[in-house]
Amino acid sequence: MDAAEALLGEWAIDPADAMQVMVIIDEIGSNIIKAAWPGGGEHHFGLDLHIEEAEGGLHLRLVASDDGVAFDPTTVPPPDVEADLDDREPGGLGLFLVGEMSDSVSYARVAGHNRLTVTKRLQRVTAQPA
Amino acid sequence: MDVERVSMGEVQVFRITGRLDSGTSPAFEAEVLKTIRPGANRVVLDFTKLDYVSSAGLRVVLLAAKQTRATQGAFAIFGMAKPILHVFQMSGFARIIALFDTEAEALASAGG
Repeated sequence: MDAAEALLGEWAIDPADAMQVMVIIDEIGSNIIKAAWPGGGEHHFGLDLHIEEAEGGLHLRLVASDDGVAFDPTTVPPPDVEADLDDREPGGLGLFLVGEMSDSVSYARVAGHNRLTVTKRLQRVTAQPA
Repeated sequence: MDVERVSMGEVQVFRITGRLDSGTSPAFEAEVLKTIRPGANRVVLDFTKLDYVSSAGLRVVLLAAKQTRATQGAFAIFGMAKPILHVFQMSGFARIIALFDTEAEALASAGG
């Protein structure tokens, strides 16, 4: 998390966009920890964050990789965000937020690994007029 | 993440500083939910100093709102920054949780 914040700071990413990136990382990381290894034990997963200059601004690519059970988060049905308080149950919101906050989410099972790729256009902090 | 609890009449105000994510939300859940019971179920969250909230934090917000409702209490949040309000809107929480700009409005709504 600290490395991600440092990278976002280096690129002077707009605070609203930076906040969304931190949420995306928290959702994906916590989801892997919760779901990937039902048998427990010691495991490793990777989260690579890459920002580059692209046409029309900055472009973020986040790739999460784990060797847990095959799981395609893009197939999870979204929560009913229109539901009233009494009908609303916790759960299902994390991956929904990742979808809402990003431009694309794609999944692949590669050599026994789940690989989730998220892309998002980012704005730099706008200079305040003096 | 730090939580400070202040009693304002019958209303318990929780001031949260930092982030509500998968790492910090279990402590937040323990702190807030244990205080909600019949007779002590008017809760206001101060999000003025909240940096961000992920689904783990939203889960606690939802549970607290449901728990106060189940005991005929009150629940309100005030002072969230625009990017956090945006998360509440995306999630559909802006329509089911009482959100206010100021502490005075939130306290008035929660009956303090």
